Amino acid sequence: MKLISAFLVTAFASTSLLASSFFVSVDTSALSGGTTGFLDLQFNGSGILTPAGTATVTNFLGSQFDVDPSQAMVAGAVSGNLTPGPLEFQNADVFNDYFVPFQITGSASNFSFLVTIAGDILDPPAGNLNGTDFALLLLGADQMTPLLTNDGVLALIAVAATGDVSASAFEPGAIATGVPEPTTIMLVLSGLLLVIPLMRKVKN
Amino acid sequence: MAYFTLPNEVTSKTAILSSGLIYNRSLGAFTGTITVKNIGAGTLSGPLQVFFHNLPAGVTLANASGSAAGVPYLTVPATLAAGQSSAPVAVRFMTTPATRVTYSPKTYSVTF
Repeated sequence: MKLISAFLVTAFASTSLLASSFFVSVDTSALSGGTTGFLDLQFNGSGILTPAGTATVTNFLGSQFDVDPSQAMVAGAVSGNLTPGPLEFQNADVFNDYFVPFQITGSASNFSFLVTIAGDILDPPAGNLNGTDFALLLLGADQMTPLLTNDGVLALIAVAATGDVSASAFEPGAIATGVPEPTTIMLVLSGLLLVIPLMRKVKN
Repeated sequence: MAYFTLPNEVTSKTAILSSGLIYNRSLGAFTGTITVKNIGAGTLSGPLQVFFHNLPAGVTLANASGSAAGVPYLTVPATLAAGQSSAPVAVRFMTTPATRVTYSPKTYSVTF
């Protein structure tokens, strides 16, 4: 059993150096039908010495929450689009921003997406002092008034200078949770396949 | 901007770790956090004062605890054992989104 536990920890630790994925879901039903505004996604480092990293947004799904990607405003190192996706950010510039208009079309609106963080930021050099954050904000039609929270920030995925990743959601209807990578699941399964015969041998 | 002298400078015994900075249009500011880590051998007595020297023109530290000789600082209310880090402290830099926020931090173990 100890052997299995040790392998599982190793498997998760090693894949965490490759990528880290999060499922972000936001309940926007507190906003009345007809509300318009802007969904703001950012991926910024803290200085010129920040290790390189990417954030890739996929699987965006809105229910009674319509975005208009043709009207998206982009700043910095951002490519692709929210729909159909993928939308990719690099933390190369000071302000890497995707700003897209939305409209609420019903009383039970919500949206969700996957974001995958990758790159050197997850395995930074020793002594690194600079982190990188991915943030989701919701602002009103004037592009300034925060919606759902005091400052408009609904979710934050923070990659610390140490490479540790944490996710926070600030609106009661928002969640940001870690998702095991397919490679992680494959590694765990292949590890178990290796360990089970070994345990049988020990038992015999 | 000129540096100044205060007692108990502990800059060489600390590392200032910065989070990414997110631009908030509702505030007109980049927001994030800093964390002070004790990289020296002994304990650092709090409170610690982190000064933000050499901020670019047009950038102000909106949530500064105070300033000395025109240099803003944040108070970190923590005593740190060797290897220990403080809790994250919020920073809010008023500026435009096109401005890269850079600074030279200096840390003092002193009470104002």
